[in-house]
Amino acid sequence: MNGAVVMESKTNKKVFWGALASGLLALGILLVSFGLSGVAYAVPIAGVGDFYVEFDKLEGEGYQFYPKLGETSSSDAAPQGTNIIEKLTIDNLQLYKDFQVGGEWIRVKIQASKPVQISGLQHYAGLIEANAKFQNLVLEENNSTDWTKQFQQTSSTIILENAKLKTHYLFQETINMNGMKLTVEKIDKK
Amino acid sequence: MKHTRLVKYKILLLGLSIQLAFLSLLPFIHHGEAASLDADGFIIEADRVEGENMKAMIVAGETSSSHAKPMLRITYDSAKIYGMRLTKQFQTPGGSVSLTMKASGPVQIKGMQVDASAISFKGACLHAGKVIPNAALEGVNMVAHSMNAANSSLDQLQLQTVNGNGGIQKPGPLKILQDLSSLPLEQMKKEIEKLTAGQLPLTCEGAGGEDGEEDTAGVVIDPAEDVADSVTEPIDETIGKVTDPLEGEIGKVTDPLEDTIGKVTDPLEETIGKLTDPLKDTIGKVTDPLKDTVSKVTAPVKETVEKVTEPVKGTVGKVTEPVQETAKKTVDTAKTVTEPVVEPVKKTVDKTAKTSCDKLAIAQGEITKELALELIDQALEEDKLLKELCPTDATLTSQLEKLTEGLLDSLGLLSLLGLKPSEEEQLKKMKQALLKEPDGTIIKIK
Repeated sequence: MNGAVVMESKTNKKVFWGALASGLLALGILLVSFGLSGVAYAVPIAGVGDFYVEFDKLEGEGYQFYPKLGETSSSDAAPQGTNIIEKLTIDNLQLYKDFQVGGEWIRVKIQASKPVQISGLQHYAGLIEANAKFQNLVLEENNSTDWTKQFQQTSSTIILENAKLKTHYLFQETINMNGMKLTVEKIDKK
Repeated sequence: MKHTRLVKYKILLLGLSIQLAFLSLLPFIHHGEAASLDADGFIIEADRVEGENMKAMIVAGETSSSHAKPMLRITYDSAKIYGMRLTKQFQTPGGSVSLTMKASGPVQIKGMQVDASAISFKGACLHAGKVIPNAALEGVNMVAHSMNAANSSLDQLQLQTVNGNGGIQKPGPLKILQDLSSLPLEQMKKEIEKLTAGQLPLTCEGAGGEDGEEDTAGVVIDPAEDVADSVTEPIDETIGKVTDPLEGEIGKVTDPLEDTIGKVTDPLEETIGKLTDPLKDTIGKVTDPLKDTVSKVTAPVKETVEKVTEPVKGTVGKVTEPVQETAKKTVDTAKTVTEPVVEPVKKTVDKTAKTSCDKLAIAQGEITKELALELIDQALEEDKLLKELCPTDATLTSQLEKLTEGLLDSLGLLSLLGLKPSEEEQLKKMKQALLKEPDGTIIKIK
């Protein structure tokens, strides 16, 4: 068995960077097309694991929250909260995700300098931090064998300020995102 | 062969039916587990709750495992909650999961209603159907089943869903609720009505006797009355003590006040005399920013300004009288100086209430330095020529045209026309030159 070859896996840098660049380019083209037309329909942002959503102010109508178990980048079934908002406007929206590439951290960030209008938002979050205001807030329990239906939080309006949301999935029926900018930057992360 | 085959079929059939029988039992097994895990209700904890018009009563409400469970309903007109933590535990197929809502800042709620099956706190004694105007509860811990709020503001809210039970301890159930839940539904409703009608205590220590409901009621009412008596007596005494020293104080306080008023008015009279001279300058300076503001504001504000100018006019009238008196006493040269100054000041105050075009019409060709500055500012702001400011009125437009010419001429700027500076530059230079002129100067128009 002396002739056994020790297999050592190695990432082909050429292939890796090529794939990353083409992926980002495709994403860029997609997002720029949103930016040009202004309105995009049925937009899911998923499959990239958890990412962060930050904004100065969100004003929404028809808010609903309930818990669920869902997939994240580190687990198949992590507890999450489902936020559903019928109609909303977000000021100074920022979405970002950090990737580790060869020992360095890269942040891919999407920013909208103008207010973003969204309808039919479905949002899975593990953590929400914000100053919140609700009108007609209701927290209630329901008699159900399905645990996700046992607890529900609803409100007629919701206002979140200085918010940071750890997001796992985002879906919008329509989104109107003007003044959009996509940046990829190197960051210091410990 | 045939026999053994038949036996094999029978065994298979039996095996399958046993499996089916067990499968049909599964829902019951699951149900039993869920009940024993006690994930009912969400736990609300708070360091302190301050509320207005707090009211407690007993109702039958829905929970995640029951349709009618006796619960304590607490309502507030408005409440401020410090250190609020809300935890809901779930039993999922993958283990326990908990949802936590934590507000580090104070939570302000209007029109709140909470249904709870268990509660513990310090600071108040709850009676069924009785309103507490100002309630401050501390160390609140309750198992709630529903919560409504008309208006709520949660500062520094953190909403998180995590694995595990969140490390929260539930308070023990209220004895009165436990007793009620053991009763059949109809009887429970009757007992609830009885409790509410009699405003019986719900949470005070010693309220829950081991005897029947009615006996407990009798025992509890008496101490409540005793407490009421003992509370009102010291209050009467206190009121007496508080008012007595006050009467003396009132006499003492008013005397020095009268003296002070006398002393204050004397120097005031002197000051008014001294004040009038600097006032003249100030009014001129103050009107400039006022004019800018007036042109920017809308109609209703204009009305207010008009109303405001009337008393100002009155004040200016009063102020100018002593000045005129003083002026009469002084030599003739002084008279000639003060009179023209006082008059334009009066005019300017009137003018602040109107647009610069209106003022120009009122001025009837006598354009003061201030009005000219205002017109230039407006022209600069709207990026127009001076003569374009009042396009609706032909006479005003011609006046403005003349003013432009006059200004350029009198200020020695005509030579600049040869160089053809931009309109904006012309206006700016006119403004600079005008600012050097003494206040109240009337600009000559050809």
